[in-house]
Amino acid sequence: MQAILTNEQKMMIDSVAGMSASGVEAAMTILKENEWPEEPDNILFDEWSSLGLKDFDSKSETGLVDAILVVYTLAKNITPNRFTSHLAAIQVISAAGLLPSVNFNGEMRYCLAVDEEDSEPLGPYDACLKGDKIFGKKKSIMHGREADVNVVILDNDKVVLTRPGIISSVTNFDILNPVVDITYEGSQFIEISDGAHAGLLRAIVILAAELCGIARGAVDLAANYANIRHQFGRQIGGFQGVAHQLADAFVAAETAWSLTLFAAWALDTNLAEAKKAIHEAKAKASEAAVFAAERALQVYGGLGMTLEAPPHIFLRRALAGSSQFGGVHWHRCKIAREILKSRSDITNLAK
Amino acid sequence: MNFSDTAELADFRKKAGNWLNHVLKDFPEVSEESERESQARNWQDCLNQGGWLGISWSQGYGGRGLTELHTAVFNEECILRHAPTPIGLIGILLAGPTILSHGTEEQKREYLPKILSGEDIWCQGFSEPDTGSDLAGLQTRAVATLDGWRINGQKVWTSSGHIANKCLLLARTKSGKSRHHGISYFLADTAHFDVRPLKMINGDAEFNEMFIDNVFVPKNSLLGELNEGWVVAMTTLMVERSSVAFNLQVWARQILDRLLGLVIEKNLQDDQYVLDRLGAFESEVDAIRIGAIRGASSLAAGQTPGPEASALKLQWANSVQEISRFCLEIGGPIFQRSAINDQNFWMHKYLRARGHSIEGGTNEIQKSILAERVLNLPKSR
Ligand SMILES: Cc1cc2nc3c(=O)[nH]c(=O)nc-3n(C[C@H](O)[C@H](O)[C@H](O)COP(=O)(O)OP(=O)(O)OC[C@H]3O[C@@H](n4cnc5c(N)ncnc54)[C@H](O)[C@@H]3O)c2cc1C
Repeated sequence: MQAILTNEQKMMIDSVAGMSASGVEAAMTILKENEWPEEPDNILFDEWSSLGLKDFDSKSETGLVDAILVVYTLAKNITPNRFTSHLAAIQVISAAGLLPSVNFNGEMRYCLAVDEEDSEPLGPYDACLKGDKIFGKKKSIMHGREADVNVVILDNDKVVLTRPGIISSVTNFDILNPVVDITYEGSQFIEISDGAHAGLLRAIVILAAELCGIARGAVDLAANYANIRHQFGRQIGGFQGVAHQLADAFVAAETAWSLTLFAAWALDTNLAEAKKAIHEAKAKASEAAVFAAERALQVYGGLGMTLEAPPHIFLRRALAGSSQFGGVHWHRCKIAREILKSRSDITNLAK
Repeated sequence: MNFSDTAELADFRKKAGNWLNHVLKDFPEVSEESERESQARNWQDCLNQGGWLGISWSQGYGGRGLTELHTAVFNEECILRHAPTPIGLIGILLAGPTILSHGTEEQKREYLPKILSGEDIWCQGFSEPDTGSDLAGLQTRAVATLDGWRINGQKVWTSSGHIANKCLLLARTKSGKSRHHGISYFLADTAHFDVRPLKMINGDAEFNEMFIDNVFVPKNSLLGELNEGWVVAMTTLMVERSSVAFNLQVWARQILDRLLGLVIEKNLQDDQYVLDRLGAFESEVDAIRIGAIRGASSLAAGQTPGPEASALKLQWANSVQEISRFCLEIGGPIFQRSAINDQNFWMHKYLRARGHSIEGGTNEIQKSILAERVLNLPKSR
């Protein structure tokens, strides 16, 4: 047992933290001027577009744990980026064994098309192949408009890579991750494989890490504000009503982060517990992110209710992420069924 | 990042497991308070003879010279098998590590082996009637004599005080402006303390009040520097929060296991509300384990225990309280047929768990520690 970060991982975190130091300002710029920043996406795609693909890409020495460290650090500063959703997409194709055919020079950007009208989290899905053509309607695809390649989940655990389908705009609540709907009406596939489900589990860990970053980032944001805002002649952070809310949010964020680190490690290690760990990570990270963002908003007072202050950006991301790939309740029920099942397995074995 | 045992730890875990499977046959679970005590005594003997106590202490003091991770692994294996708790737990968990880091060579040789053998049973005499969270306000006094000190004062909520012969005793040796300076830390004999058991709400007499009336302690019972006992006390509290984390996670796991059995017994496996709560509890308890491994790993890598231990302690208290309350909830009114002095299992657990957010520093104090030391907020105390 050596559950600590390596020096390389610490350096990686520092370097990503450096790139994302002005995340809050960049997010505000998107909100005000609708201008998406080029950086740090360009650097991230150039340098790390195959992050977390140890098993598939001989150039990459990194695993899922490394990938989530980057995702977490970006999210902590709510750094606008398209890299996180790209990472989620390539995790899916890696689990499906499609990597060698994929271009990783940073020019190609991938997006993940999963959900359908009324589909259950993790499927089944209606989208399918007819002959060698793809048919189906996918919803809420993050950064789908800018992607060069779509990773589309089909029925029967199939994954295909294809060129973008027909894009339709939707109203966006979360400004950090604009989504679109995409319809495929006979698109040709580039590659196909089984293994969609295994891939989506990896993508869920990426999303959980992002939510953990949002949670911790919201706590830090509010703590900074609580140190500069004065009322009754003192810093508001000196009031326990304020401080203890943030301590609660910190504990929630740490809990979620422990679970997410473990889930990523368990997947990297092919552990049997990985599945339960992923559900735990996603459930807790969703809960923590929404809780922490709401606490941050509260600590900002009236300012927190305005579009000028950053808490709502955290809150939007938290809500959007928490409902994607299964909400808190859905994942909790999965965990419960899993432990009840292994309990009855043990009992049956004893008989 | 690696959460699995090294080959060496895995081997150690296996040996521990085998040994436990063998000896635990003679230690069935008991519920009577008096039986629990004699069993705890026998269990300590058994552990000591097997060489499973003081795993991380150096061999010179009766330990095995291994790491905190070994201790953690052993505790985990114990609790998975519902092993009893050794009678000298406070000595093993608190007195030992504190003496190891602040004691003189002579004190280490004198006290440490007796902690393991169970010859000395320790209690922690910190809290007083007027001094709980604000420990630095303590009023028990030690007045110097030619060859030691005379102590006067009163301690309260002292766990194991009724079975202890030794006490980690904080007393004021100097009055002055600074509240922290002027406190001294004594390794005191309790033979002349007047110890009166206090009954807890679950019917157990686990803690006590202790009246200390002009009791003499010799010179060599001072631990650390005179008037600088605060630093030593902080070590005890830090150890209490961090090294205890591994026990915490397994205690939480035990109650969750019980809940799982209850859910099956009551045929609630398809109740969405029950599933939701179970999923949440399972996540929390797993997170405590993972957090404890992360903590023990950074200790093993040479980092000092930080305020993060407060986060684990909070999580643990919350989880165990919520799980045990939920047991009552699904048990229904029948679980409330529980006599004040003879509580049924579930009520006994539930009521005991209420203390988890008070003992070892209250939830409010842990939150303030996190706010100040992790989030860098101004002092609110
Ligand atoms: C089961 C059990 C076993 C124990 N065993 C031992 C033992 O072996 N040895 C020992 O020395 N002690 C022991 N204690 C005592 C324990 O450490 C104290 O109860 C605890 O530190 C709180 O002190 P208090 O009871 O005086 O409460 P108080 O300090 O009076 O607190 C009362 C309430 O006020 C809150 N409060 C106090 N100060 C603040 C503040 N600054 N900010 C916000 N809220 C505040 C507290 O959180 C609490 O809710 C034990 C307690 C229990 C319940």
